[in-house]
Amino acid sequence: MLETISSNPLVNHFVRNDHFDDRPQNSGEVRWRPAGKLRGQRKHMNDSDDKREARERHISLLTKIARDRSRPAFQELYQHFAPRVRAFLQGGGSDPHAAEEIAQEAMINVWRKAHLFDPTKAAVSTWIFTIARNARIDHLRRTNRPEPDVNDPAFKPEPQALPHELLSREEEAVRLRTVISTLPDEQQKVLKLAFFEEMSHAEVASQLDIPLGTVKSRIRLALGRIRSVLGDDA
Amino acid sequence: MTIEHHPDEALLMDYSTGALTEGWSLALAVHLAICPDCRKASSQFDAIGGCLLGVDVSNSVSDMDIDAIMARLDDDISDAAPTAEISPPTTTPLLPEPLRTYVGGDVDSLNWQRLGLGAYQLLINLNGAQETARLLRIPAGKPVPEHSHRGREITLVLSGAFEDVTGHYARGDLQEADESLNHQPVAMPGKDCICLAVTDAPLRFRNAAVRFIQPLLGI
Repeated sequence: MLETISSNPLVNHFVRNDHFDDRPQNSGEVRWRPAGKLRGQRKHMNDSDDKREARERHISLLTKIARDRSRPAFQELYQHFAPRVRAFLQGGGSDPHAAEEIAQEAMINVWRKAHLFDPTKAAVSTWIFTIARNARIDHLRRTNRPEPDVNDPAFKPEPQALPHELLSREEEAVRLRTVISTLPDEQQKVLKLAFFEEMSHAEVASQLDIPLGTVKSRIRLALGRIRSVLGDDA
Repeated sequence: MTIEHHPDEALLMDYSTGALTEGWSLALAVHLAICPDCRKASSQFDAIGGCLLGVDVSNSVSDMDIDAIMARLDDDISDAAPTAEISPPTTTPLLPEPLRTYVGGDVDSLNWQRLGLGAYQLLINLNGAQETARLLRIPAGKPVPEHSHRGREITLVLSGAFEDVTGHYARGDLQEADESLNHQPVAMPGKDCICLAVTDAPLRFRNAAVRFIQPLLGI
């Protein structure tokens, strides 16, 4: 699955990135265009630049919400993310009404918690995913998700970041999306069942009728691949 | 003091997706509080969630949706302020958050329930989860009676250490056991072993006498 499109890694990166499409019916298919067409490449690079700009824009919107309680900023962020949160929650075919309700709750929490967003810790899409996940847990189980507290004196902080870890979170997210789209089908399937349908790895195993060990090894392989691309083999 | 036994990738993923119920999540959260490596892996799983959420979608927001949500923001502005900082304890607590909040304090201030043979437990109140979470205190140098598991068990060491056929477990080490593991953990000498133990079915003790008093002990 990891065949090379071009000898230039940057070209591979952009070409693949812009073709990521997450519809379950065609998951895992690496679609690409011949790398020899200069016009095609340039177009993709422009698309990719647009996406980078959009990502920067989302960070500044969240900052405005946190700092100024800016309603126009929230409205713009809502228009981008609310449909995505709803689609994510509905990814497993769950009740559209519940998905709508949870998505609304999640977006309200984005408004309330904007001051907690830290662009050095997570990409905007990652942060909103964690908000949506917690809203779903709250909705389904009426309970909080136990989480570590960074302000707790017993919390063990990370060691100083190494230079290669200074890649921005948004840049990592761009790369990560590319990696996920190039993972073998069987690994993507496990990730999608787990994240969209909130299935445990044991439930994924029984859903796909494969041994638990197989699910575990697919998860391990996927994470290993992701780490190697993000420059983190630790 | 490095952590040797970590949750596997599958368990970290389940924590990230939200598939774990409260007791299991609590064990993961406490491990993550003291294990930066696993926090990093956990944040990588969160980033996978972010990518799966961030994909382009065809449907968009209607004007009605916008009006409704904007109207709800008014009520929520008062909630927006960060919560006041609570002054941290003067010494580093042994029990990391979120565990301290669950049990109502650090190890010295707890109402331990006697289990006999010098062992104590403290049942942790969970919000309707099927599994049982408890703190266990096993006296230094003493064994926990040999047992196997009907279901799944996660044990996280917080103080002292124990050993069984699978290895040596000290602070931060996490052991995940299932039906296949029949073990007799022994607390290491010198210090009581305090663990967070989460189980989804009663343990199966080999000794008939222990089995007999098991209902009384609530384990």
